[in-house]
Order: sequence, then structure tokens, then C-alpha cells
Amino acid sequence: MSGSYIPLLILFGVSVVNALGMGIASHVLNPRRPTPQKDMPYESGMIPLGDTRFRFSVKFYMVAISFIVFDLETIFLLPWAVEMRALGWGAFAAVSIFVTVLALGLVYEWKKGGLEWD
Amino acid sequence: MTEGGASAFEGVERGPQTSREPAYKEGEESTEGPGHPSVSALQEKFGSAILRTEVQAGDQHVVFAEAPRNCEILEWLRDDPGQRYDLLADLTAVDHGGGRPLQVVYQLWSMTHKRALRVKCEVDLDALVIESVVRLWETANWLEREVYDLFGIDFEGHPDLRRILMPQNYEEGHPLRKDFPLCGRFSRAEQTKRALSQDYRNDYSVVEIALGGTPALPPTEADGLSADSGEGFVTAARGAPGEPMTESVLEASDPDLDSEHMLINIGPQHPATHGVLRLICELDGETVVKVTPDIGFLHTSFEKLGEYRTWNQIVPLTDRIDYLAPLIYNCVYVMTVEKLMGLQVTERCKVVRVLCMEMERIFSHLLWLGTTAIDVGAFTPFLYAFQERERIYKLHESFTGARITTSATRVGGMMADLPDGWTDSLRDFVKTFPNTLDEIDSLLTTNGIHLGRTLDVGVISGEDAINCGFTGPNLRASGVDYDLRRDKPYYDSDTYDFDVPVGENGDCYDRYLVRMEEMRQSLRILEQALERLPGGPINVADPRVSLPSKTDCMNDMESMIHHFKLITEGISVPAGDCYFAVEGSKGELGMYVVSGGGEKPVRWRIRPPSFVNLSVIHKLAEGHLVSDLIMINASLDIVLGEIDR
Amino acid sequence: MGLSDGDPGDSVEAERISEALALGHSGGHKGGLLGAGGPTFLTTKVDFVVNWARRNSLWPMPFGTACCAIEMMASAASNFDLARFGMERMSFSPRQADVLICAGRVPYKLAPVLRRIWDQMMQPKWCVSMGACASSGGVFDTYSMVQGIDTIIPVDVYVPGCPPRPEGLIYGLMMIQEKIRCETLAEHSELRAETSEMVGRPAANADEVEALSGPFGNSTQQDRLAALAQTQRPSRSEDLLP
Repeated sequence: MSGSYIPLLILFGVSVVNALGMGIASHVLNPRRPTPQKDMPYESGMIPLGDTRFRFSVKFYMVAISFIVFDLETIFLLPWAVEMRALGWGAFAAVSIFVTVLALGLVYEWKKGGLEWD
Repeated sequence: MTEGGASAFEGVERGPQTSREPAYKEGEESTEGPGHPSVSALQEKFGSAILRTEVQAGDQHVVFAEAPRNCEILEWLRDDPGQRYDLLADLTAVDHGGGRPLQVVYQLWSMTHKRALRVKCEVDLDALVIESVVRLWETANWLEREVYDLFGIDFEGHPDLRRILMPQNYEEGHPLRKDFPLCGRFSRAEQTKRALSQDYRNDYSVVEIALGGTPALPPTEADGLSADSGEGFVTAARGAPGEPMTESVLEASDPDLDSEHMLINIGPQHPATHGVLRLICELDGETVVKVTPDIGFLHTSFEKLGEYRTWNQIVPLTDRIDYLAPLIYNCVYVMTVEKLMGLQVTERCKVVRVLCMEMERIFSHLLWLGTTAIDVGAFTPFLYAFQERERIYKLHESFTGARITTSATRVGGMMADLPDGWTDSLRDFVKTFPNTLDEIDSLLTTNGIHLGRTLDVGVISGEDAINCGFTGPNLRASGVDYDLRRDKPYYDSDTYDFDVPVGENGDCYDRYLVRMEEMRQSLRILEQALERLPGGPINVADPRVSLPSKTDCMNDMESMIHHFKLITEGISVPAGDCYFAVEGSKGELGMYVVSGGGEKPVRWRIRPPSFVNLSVIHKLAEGHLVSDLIMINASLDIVLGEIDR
Repeated sequence: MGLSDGDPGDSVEAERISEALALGHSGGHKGGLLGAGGPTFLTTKVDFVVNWARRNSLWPMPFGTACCAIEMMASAASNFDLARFGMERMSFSPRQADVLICAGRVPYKLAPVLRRIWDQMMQPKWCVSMGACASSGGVFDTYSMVQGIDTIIPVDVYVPGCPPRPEGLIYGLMMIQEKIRCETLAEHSELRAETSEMVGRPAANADEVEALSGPFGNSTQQDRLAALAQTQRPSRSEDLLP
């Protein structure tokens, strides 16, 4: 059983080494010349006004929260989908209830206009 | 380059061309030419306010009106049912030099009566003030700002009179005046130093700074300024012309300091602005509350440079104005000069120019199509469109030797006749191009995403469009059927069998459809022109412009001298002025040349369709999302070289 | 460009060229980073790999203004295809760009924008001045035009033409690749010199700007460099590219 985890560990190791290696190589080899103009936020070549710590419009929040909810739904569905046959009808019923509840939520949001930008 | 220094270019640096003689003689009225109903009506109604009338270039009527009464006269011309000059085609100024008053020139066009009229008002150099006509035509907004910027004429009643093409802190003066040297008043080192000052107050108005907040990079000691007030050199902050930025100005403008709106710049360095255009947007989340275009980032002073070049030397400059359709510019410029000279070109030349202009229309629309599609995310039409453009590049190259900067025309004809096989290549293009166009059509026209991005986005009604000076496909998409090929025909354009596509809603989708259909109609015109192409000489044998043949020069002294004078001095155009417009790919492309009787123009004015089309983007985009703003900007089909000149 | 030779004889020439090039850049104290004695086998190999990676994955920053921008777009399109050089990913953000291609005329109003974009680019960075207007002001010696962007930012390669054909631009980009191939990490501090004081100031001082902007000799001797003092431009008896 433990043999099937070895490739996973190797994959993990290689990706960590790769990422760290690229980071370290860039750090060592690349020049660092910080200047105030370089640290300034880029705004198409003009000097930007205002702070980046800004009170964003609440409409962005609406889009973000909807995304989070339905994205998490997908994440929960994935492990079930992988082991669907082994888990049987009980799990299917549970997942169906889960999806139905979220679908009702989607319909509610749709009707309330939460999917429109304005 | 400073004046007075030893220069290898003495002749050029002698200064801009001024009028050698007054364009008219005092008290003399020229009476040749057909009568004009508006002229007689004006004289009847306004009497002494109409100082004089004349006829230029054969059939162009010019009315000199008293400057203090310009608004009254123009309002009557716009509103009276017998006149109805609803389109302000152009508003510009002319400096004849030598202390003469500046002339403010209004080119008017009546859609209903299909008549043109030019009204001129003279303002003295010591009292450069005239009333603004913005309340009559929205077109005048940017046009008057440009005249203020380049000539220094104050327009009373203008809502926002500040520089438009030059930077806000420009201190060298007003460039198109005759006493302004070509290379500016400061040395190049000084100009470079001033240009690179990192002062954000040059880029934003007082209200915008109040809205946006503190800048990411305040000016430093090294910039020669201190952060609090205008020391070192005075920045003419944009509260009002000449008014420095002080606390009282800030209070007076009453900005909403607590607002959650964000102020961002789109451009000048941006892939989706179609050039170096800067849009200062006030955003509420993703919605555009206010957008202000800032132009001038490509101001190349073509018009000033033209005053230092002979008539034929200006042709290479015309390519570089609208680099997407250079042949149209080449053609319209020489057509204007030829009209002023009363020069008729040969039949072959006319058809060749029609071929060139229609081919350029397709050329320009292909780029519009490719870049607009790529702005909304469709990459494939860009590649297809550019592949087709390569075929037109080859046509350009085989005819003129250059892909983009063609310089194909000369006053009196073309640089050369068409090479062998060129018409066959063009015929081949006309036959096979519809396949690609159909393919791009199938990708975009019924595409749900494209429809979603363009339907009901950026709507403008027909009357608003005329009042704002829209011309070309933008105007036709709003339902106004105005096409210069049919309404102000040139080179028998009204004898060709083609349709003018007209839209209904005035949204981005209609503008897209109109341009797609225009490409197909241009193909029809090309086919017919290829059928009609007559033989014969391409250049007219008129001694005013044509060089004698080499054999004649070698054998005949007079021909030798004629050749010599034409080459060394250039052609000479009689005194007068002429406005001529063609249906360019972007709209009504007009040129206004004023000649003082010499070898160089006194004034060369380009009436840029994109400049006027862009001035109303704030009307189209406010209330839409940022992504719609990009689509609207793309659908207007602007080219910055033409806007900034 | 494939993996070419890496023999020691090459590195001596590389060092000579990069020394000459480095002195042309702004800033410049001498002294290598990886040993004063000269290049070693290891440093040559590291140089080779680093330069190979850099030159084959240049991300251009297209600072296109006018007609040359259209030719640049044509170079990127299917017919001439910059993608085969690794440059299809046009980076409009300076943070992710390696080479700034200034395509088109630059007026004084646009000069601070160009300077700011250059300043915001991360090292290592190079600059191509495409076209006559960017290189010297071109046909436009007028009140509003910068007479060559090298008065504002340091330029590595000038591509002449009005506009240059796409092949011309590609040749210029290949020259940048060649320049990068000849770089060495030992000259790092000169090649990548950039300090806060130099940033934002014109690249040329007042006298150089005047000399560069004025008329150069008579019309048959159009060599603007003749007006300046001796420069350190490398003298090559033959072109490096076939």
C-alpha cells in the first residue's frame, strides 16, 4: 500500500525543488536595482493618483461571494465523483440534496438580480 | 535648433510661408462663379455685418462676417429653414503673417439642402477674442480648444478652454502662429528637461487631483519644483487657463472628496486604446461615471511643417498622418491643391485614384476589424485580417515601392503609372477577398459573445451625431444617410453603382455592420473601376505642374529652364483657399489649404474625422462598464496620427 | 538560434565586445564581479546558459505610437511571425517585459511616459529604437518632437527605416539577441547599472542633446556621430550576423 504513495512523494519533492530552485536561481543571478519609479504602481505610463488600499465597490464583493460559494460546491463534488461507484446510493442521495439546495440558492440569486452587475 | 545659427538648411529655416500679398484686395469682390442662395440671404438679413463675400477655387463661397456677431449669424445659418447648416464640418484659424488679423474659419454643410458655405471672422492680433459656438454645435468643443492651443484665440463662453494637443504646462506660446519658429522657442535640451519633469499636476486637473488623492510620486527638488506651489516654473493648472492651483481654486471647484469613485488612466501606453490615447476615467466599481480623453501624445505638428515645405514635398507627410489608409490622404491632399489651381487630372488618373481610395478603405477597415475583435478577445479575425492586409501591402509595394508610406500622388497626377500586372493582382484580390470576409463574418456577426458586447452599447442618435460632428460609418450607423461619394461627388463617384449601408440604432453593433458592408460595397466599386480604367497618360501635361520630358530638356532651353524651376522652386499655386473633402475610411476627411501665391502653403489644415468622432466618447460611454468603454473606443475607429497630427 | 559553440576562444571576444558595449551605457565603474583574473570555464558556461535563456525568451514591450507600430503588428502577425523568436507574448506591462521596442515618433508630451515605462521595467532590459523618428526624429524636426529617444532612454539597437520592413525589425531583434549572447555576468554592474538619481533624467546631457538634435554635417555625410566626441562603439570589421 505504501508503495503507491512513493510517486506522489517524488512528485511533491520535484515540484518543491523546482519552485525553490527557480526562485533561488533568480535571486542569485538577477540584478536588483530598486528605484522609486520602479516601485511606483504601473498605470499606463502616468503617475497614478491615490492609494491602492482602496474601498472597493460592494458590487465586486457580490461577484466574489457568488464565485466562492459555487466554486466550493464544485470542490466538494470532485472527491465524491472520483469514488462515486464505491460510495453507493446513500452518498448519491446526500450529494443530490446538497446540489439541490445550492441550485435553489442560485435560482434565488438569479431572480433577485444578483447575477447582474448593477 | 536656434534661429540665426549657421545652418545647412537655410532655405527651409527662413521661416514659415506667409502670404505674399493679401488674399484679397480691399474693397474688391470677386463675382465669378455660380450664385449661392445663402450668400444673398445673409446679405439681405444681416446687411452690414457681412463685410464681404468671395468665391474661391471656382465654386466655394466664402462670407466674411463681423467677429462680434458671429454667433448670431451662425445660429441663423443653422436654424433658418432655408439654410439649415446642421453640420459644422470644420472650425479652424489662419494666420497670414505680417501682423494681419487672424481669420477664424467655419466650414458649414447643410444635410437637407446639400450646400456648403465658408464663414470667416477676423480677429485682430491685439484682441484675440471671439464668441464660442459650442452651444450651437457640440463639434466646436474640441475644435475651438485646438484653435486656442495653436493660435491663442480666446473663445468666450467655451465650457472648458484649455490646451488640447500641447502639454498643459507648455510655455513656448502658440505654435501655429507665424512668429513661432518651427523648432520651438526653447533649446532642445530645455524642452527635454521640461518634458521629463515628474510633476503630476501637468497631467491632471485640479478636480481630478482632489478626486484621486495623493500621487504615487510627488515631484522632487530635482524637478526644479517644490511640492506645495508653483516655484521654478509655473504650471498652468487646469482650473482655468493661466490660473495657478491654489486652495481657493480647490474649494471653488467643490469636489466630492468623500466619494468612493476611483480615478484611473487608461493609456497612453495601452494595447486597447488604438494608439497613444489617454482616457481619464472616474469609476464607480466597474461603471464609468465620467471619461475624459486626453490627446496630444502624438502631436507631430504636420500643419506647421507644411508651411515650410513645397506643395509636392507635403505628399510624403500625408502618408504619416493616417498610417492605416495612406493613399486616401495622398489623394485628398493633391485633390485639394488641384481644385485650388483649377487643374483637371487625366481620366486614367481619376480612376486610379478611385481604385487607390477604395482599396484603402478596405485596408483601413480590415485593421479596424482585426483590432476591434482582438479588443473583445477574438484573436482569429486579427490574424485573418492581417493576412489580407499583407496582400494589400504587396499591392502598395509593387505600385509605390513602400508598404505603408506610399507617397503615391503628386499635384497633377501620380508618382508613376500602374505597373504591369497590378490590375490583375487587384482583380484577384477583389475576387478572393470575399471568402475571408465571409469567414470573419461567420465568426463575429451572429456570435453570441460579440452580440452581447456590442448590442445597445454606445448608442448615439442621429441628431446628436450630426450636432457632434460625426461623419462616416459612425454617422451612418446612427441612421443618417450621408456619404460624400454620393452627396459631394468627386471623380464621378456618384456614377458608380454601389449602396450606402445605413444603420438604425447607432450602437456598436450597427457600426460593425456598416463597416463590414462598406467593405463589400468597396469591392463592387473596385470591380467597376477596374472595368472602366482607361488608357492614356497618368499625369496631366499642364505646364504649371508637369515636368517637361528629358528629350525636350536636352534640346530646348525653355524646357530646361522650366524643368529647373519646377524642381528647385516647386510648383506655384495661385492665391486663394480651398476646402475639399472625400469620404475617408474614418469619416469626412477634408483638407483646407490657403495659398499666398507661392510655392509653399500659408496654411495647411487637415480636417481629421477621428478627432471629431473621439470628442464625444464621454457621451457614448458614461454609464457603461469599463469593458464597454473599450468596445466603444474601438467601434469609433480612431487613428491617433490623425487626431493629434 | 540553436545551442552554438561555447569554446574558450569565444569568451575572449565576448569579453572585449561586452567591455566596449558596457562603456557605452550610462554609469560605469570598471571591475568584474566574479574575479579579476578573467573568465573561467564555469563562469563561461553560466554565462552561456543565462544568455541563451534570456535571448530566446525576450518579451517585447511594444511602445508603438505611429506607422512603425503597424509594421510591428505586421511583424507579429502570421506572415513575418515574431513567435519563432520567442517574442509572441507582447507584454504591455513593463514589469513583465524585457525589451522595449519604441516604434514610432515620440513627441515631448509622450516623453515622460516613455521614460516612466523604461524606469518601471525590471532589469535586465534592452531597448530597440524602431524607425527613423524614434532614432533621430526622422522627418519631423519640429517644436513638439523628441529628436531621437536616445536623449531620453538608453538605446541598444537602432532600426532605420520609415517604417522599417518587418524583416528590418526582425534583424534589429536578432541584433539584440546577438548583443545578449555576448554579455557576461562579470560585467553585471555596468550592464545593469541603474540608480535612483539617473532614473527620470534625460539619458543625454544638455550638450549631447543639442549636438544630437542639430543638423549633422552636410547632407552627403549623414553621420550624426561625427558631431560628437569619440564614442566607445565597437568597431567590427565584419558583421556578426550572416
